[in-house]
Amino acid sequence: VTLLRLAPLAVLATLAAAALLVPAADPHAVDLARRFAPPSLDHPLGADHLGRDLFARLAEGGARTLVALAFVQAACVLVGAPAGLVAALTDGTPARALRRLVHLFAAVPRLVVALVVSGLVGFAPLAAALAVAATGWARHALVVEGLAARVVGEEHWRAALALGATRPGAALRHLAPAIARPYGAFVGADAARVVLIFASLAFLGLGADTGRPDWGAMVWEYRLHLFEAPRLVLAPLAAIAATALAFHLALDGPGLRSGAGSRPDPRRGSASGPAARNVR
Amino acid sequence: MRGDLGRSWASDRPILPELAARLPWSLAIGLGGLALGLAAGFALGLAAAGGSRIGAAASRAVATAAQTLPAFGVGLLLVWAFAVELGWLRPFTGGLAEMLCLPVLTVAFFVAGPAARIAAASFEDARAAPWFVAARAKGLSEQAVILRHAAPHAALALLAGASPELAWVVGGAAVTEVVFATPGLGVWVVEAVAARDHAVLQVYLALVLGWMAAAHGLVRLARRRLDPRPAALR
Repeated sequence: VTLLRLAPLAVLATLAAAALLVPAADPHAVDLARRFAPPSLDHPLGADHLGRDLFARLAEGGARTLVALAFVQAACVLVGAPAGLVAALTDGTPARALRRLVHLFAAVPRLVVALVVSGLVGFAPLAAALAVAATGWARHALVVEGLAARVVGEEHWRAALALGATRPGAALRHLAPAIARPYGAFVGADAARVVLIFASLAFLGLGADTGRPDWGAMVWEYRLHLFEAPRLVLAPLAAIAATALAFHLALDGPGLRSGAGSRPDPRRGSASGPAARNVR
Repeated sequence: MRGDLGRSWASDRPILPELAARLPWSLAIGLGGLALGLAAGFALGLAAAGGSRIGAAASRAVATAAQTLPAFGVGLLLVWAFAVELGWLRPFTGGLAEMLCLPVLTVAFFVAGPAARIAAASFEDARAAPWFVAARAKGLSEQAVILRHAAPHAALALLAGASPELAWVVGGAAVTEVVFATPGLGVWVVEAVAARDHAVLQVYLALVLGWMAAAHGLVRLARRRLDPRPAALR
């Protein structure tokens, strides 16, 4: 069953590898004689309004999306997971302040913050990744905190401490293995959201410099040709949706959700089911 | 300090009157989409709970689509379908209702997805609860129990689950406004970011934080009003 769940991701990886290996046309080569050329063998998806190869542009946009995604998730894991552990395992004023900060950052609108931050730090791809991660880490911290809090409530944790294990040592030996799987699933499911936010930033012209074929930027550029050549808009949209769907189906699909309930009922206090559920 | 929010760095126009002109558009799209989306999500969840297979499939499809499609994509597809193929609406040149219809639908679509998921799960919960069985044993029909007793239960869960949507609506409405060229706050802030107009950005951020604080406070107040149980337990 697990293998079947990962099939969409495998398809995505194969497509990405194929796009890299197949010698595609230059995504920036303008050829006005080929304007709006229909799909052919040389140009699998045809050409755009400047005669540029749509498939090559799509492939480069995909590579840029995956690089940004990797940066965002790496930053979120590196900052969010330790923050969540500290919030769950320590007490006192600093920990309480940290919890407040996490809740504040998890509550603010992600896209708006990304917009404003990219306005401050510039529009390069790395800066866009930073802008998305600026709020993303807090959701990771919330999830890790929720998962760790459940382990801390269990007896094997108290037994480990009673046996004389130090807190950091016990966290590494007994806590990390217990939360690695559900947290990994959250990181993957969160990736679908990051893909959408990155595409939205690029659509608004802020994710990267225009002219670069980010999927969102392509939709913005081609939206004027929606009526004469719908495939120009539909192809990048389909690429965005397919990427998000692959992560969603593999790691956040209906099978994982059944039994876990949807969002935990806050009246009951502690989170039931994967803590990932209640964070978007 | 004059309390009038100052002037835009880019256009040198005073900020307050422009804010007042743009705010109603964003409020209409954001709140309209939020209300419509919550209502549609609740109806979908109810249909799924009522045992209708189509309802269950529709609520699952909307929930998945809302998590995997970008807002600007849905907006463009709506324009394509309703304005071009069907020719029913003129979203860019028509009257007020025509201009607002598609943006509100776009925002509502993304709110309805998670809302349907929450409502459906809450109806499932209710079915297993002792009070549900008790009401059935009293002789009420399943439909009656769902409508009389489980619906308020699901509405409460929806209210609690609406908090993340309150945040999403701000960003989602901004992208939607850009797609439909609505003269609202979203377009304004995108222009301000491009021009590095910090005077405008700062006002916008303060506004968003104010909205989040007010909305969360209202949700908490409404839940306490509608559900006295946690207070009684304390």
